[in-house]
Amino acid sequence: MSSERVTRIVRSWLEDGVDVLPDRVLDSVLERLATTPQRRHWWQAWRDPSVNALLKIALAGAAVLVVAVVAIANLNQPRPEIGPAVPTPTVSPAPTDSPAPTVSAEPLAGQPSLDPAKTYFVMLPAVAGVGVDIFFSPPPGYAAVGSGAIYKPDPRAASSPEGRLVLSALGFDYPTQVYSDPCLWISNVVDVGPTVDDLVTVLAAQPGRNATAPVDVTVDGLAGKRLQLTVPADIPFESVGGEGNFPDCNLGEFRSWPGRHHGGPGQIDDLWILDVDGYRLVLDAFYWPDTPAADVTELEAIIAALDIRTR
Amino acid sequence: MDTELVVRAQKGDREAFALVAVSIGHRLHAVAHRILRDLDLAEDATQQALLSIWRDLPRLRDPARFDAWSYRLLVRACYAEGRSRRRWAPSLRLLPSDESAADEGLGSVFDRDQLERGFRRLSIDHRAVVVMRHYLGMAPDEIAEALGVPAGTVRSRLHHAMRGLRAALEADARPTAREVAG
Repeated sequence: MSSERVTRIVRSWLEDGVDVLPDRVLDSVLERLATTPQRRHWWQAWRDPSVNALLKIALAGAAVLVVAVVAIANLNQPRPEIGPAVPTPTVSPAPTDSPAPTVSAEPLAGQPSLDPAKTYFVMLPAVAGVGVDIFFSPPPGYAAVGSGAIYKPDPRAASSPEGRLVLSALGFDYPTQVYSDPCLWISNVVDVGPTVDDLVTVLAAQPGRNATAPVDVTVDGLAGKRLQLTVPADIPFESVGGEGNFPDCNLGEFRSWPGRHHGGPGQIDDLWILDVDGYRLVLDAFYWPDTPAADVTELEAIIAALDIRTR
Repeated sequence: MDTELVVRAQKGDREAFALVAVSIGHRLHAVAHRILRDLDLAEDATQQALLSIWRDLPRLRDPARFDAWSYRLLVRACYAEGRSRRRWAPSLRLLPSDESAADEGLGSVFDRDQLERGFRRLSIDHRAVVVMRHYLGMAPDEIAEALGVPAGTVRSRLHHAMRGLRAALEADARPTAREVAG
């Protein structure tokens, strides 16, 4: 029997069959939508500081004008040194009180792609009456995630409709709670004390994270701790509709703290936890084991150049 | 598929998703039925696929690729349904076909029985590429994108599947009482 004949027979055979979905099936699906939450990428779900209503208004105004003329006291000052990955403490100069140059900065919110020639700012909501603003000029090739993170797209994602999108990223956050178990995180949320060490201790105790020993660092003259956490490389993972589906974990997500869930096994979070005049700021540089070293170094350079201020 | 509807559904618009579901439901069900060869299983798989599409829609990077992506979720749902079926399905004995039907040509009872038997021997992965190629008329590259596998894998599965179906059609022996399906 020829291949053509086989194909004709198969095609004819496949023509026979049901072509109409019963209404009851469709009705059942639509009824269940209300109780079926949508899953979003971990980077889509990144904590958005603009939830604060007043902050929304402030950001909207700034976005319309494309300018918030901001005094950045340290923009032209020598950058403080950033501690290396190895546990070698570094000492950085404190910020000076030299006259502040005036520059234009744009809010990170609403910026799908970032212009290296511009300065952007992130406004983190106030905690206990203190808020933090962060200013930076990104290297080429970065985009914003909401108003709380920037990322570099993974060029390898272009060949897949749902491939891994992020090569490297940097998030700005202020967690006050942490999950004691990132996989079984429901009912395992714990309040964290106010200090840098409080947060470091809880994060380092998360099971399966292979936490590095925390080291002292300074960023923009601000003291803190740096440690790395890893999503277990062997945790069950299924890429359904994109990144971040851990079938053995609650709701299929692996979460460090509320608002921070992860993209896949092996993901590395390089956390810089700083004390900004009593405000605990977390700089979360995250990437993959196969992210090129140059891109990791670039994240460190971004951190080294941050200008962090309280308001 | 209307990309604007997909984008609205991605943002959680249930009314937009309802329109999407109405638009694709029949087609998904038709494909599921041809892969699974069972009406009840096909309904369950279609329902599960539609819910998975709703759940994971925000993660679809390119709404223009919605159709291919929806087939991927449907095939996964079929795979899950096929797996669950194996756990409880009784062994169904096939009745011998009428040998005189062998000469009836295209669409004969004999062909259909033989095809049914041959098709059921294939894995869900192999069935899916046959249905997508010869029912939906998709090119191997399109199937590869939809299923998230290399195009070479699609061609290999297609070749293997069609060889199996051809062998089934050419088989001299009719089903015996020892052969089971399901």
